[in-house]
Amino acid sequence: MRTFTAAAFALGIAVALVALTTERTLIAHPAPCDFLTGGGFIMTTGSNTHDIAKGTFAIGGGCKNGTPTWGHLEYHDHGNDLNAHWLTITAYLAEGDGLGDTGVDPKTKQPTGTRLVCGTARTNLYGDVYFMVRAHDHGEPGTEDQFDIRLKRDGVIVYTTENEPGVPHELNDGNGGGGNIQLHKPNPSTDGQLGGDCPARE
Amino acid sequence: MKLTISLWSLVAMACAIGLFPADSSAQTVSGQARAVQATVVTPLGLSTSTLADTGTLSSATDARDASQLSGSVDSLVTAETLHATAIGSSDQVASEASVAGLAVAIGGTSVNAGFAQARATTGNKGVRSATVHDLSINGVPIDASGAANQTIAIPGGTIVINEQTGNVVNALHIVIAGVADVVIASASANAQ
Repeated sequence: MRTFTAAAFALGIAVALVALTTERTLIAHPAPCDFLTGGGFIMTTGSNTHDIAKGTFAIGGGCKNGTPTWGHLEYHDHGNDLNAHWLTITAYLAEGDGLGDTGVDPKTKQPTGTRLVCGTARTNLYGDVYFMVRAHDHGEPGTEDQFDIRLKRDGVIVYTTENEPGVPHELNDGNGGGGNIQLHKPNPSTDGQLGGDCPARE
Repeated sequence: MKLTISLWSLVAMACAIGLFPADSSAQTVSGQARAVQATVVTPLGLSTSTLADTGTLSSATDARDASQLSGSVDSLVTAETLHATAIGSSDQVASEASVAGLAVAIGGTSVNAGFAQARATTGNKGVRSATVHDLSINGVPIDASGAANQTIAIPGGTIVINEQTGNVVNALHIVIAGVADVVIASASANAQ
């Protein structure tokens, strides 16, 4: 009898734990946040506004402490000498629904995919603007990673690298671009979700 | 009165009464990234300046970043779109730093690069790498092979490309003895 009682108690505990774990899985958000970082350069005409020239960039986005406001943007178009320096990060999004095209690099086991980093920036040519960066991590070695940027003011796109041949811009290991975009898996501080406001996307 | 017990409170109670052992395998993580560090010998001693420095990760839940549109250290270093990030997690640290439009002038030697980046991540699939594009020394183009610790002699010193020492990766490390020590794009990552 004692053996039966102990076994029944253990079974009950196990069932309870499975039930609790299952419930937690079911309520988990489908698109948990993560981080994206990168630096490099593309070759751009600023959507045919100048001869082809380097556009150098530094980008970060993510959800430290649960909100999609972690990150930065620095950008310099050498064709028209446009400078953009971030003021705020207001959104960190996947492209498409949920986690979008998020996958896993079989070589490094790190996530791959596309993220949109949005916010406000101060520029030397257009004043303060909304920005949206589309950055894609294609996995190592990074030659097929992508970067494009859009600046918007008063509802009008004042600058973009999106409307020219070769878009999206690949980093290409120095042959028309360089650098690396890295998507990072969530860490314990990223308990928020992908989201936020992105006026430059609308 | 309605009594609510959360999953975590149940787990905490279970740990307290010994049903689950405490986690004795928690990792200690460290990491840092820095776009530029320049140490110069002055009559008063060594003077060190940094640009776009994350500082050190405080824990596995930390994520740090630093950036600048442009930056300079006196007449020694100028660079643009400087960037540094260090991100911890329960089992990994990932750090990276990059600069573009780099120009360094030390003791009659000039070093230029269109772009330089260093990356370091921990783990079995960890990455330690650096890339340098359009590198030149005194106007002469240099082929950055991608190999670790590629060393080039310059008057009075050395330049190491993709310097890898322990858990640290430096895209460029320029030393002229008795004059200056300049590190461009440095990333470190460690988890134990």
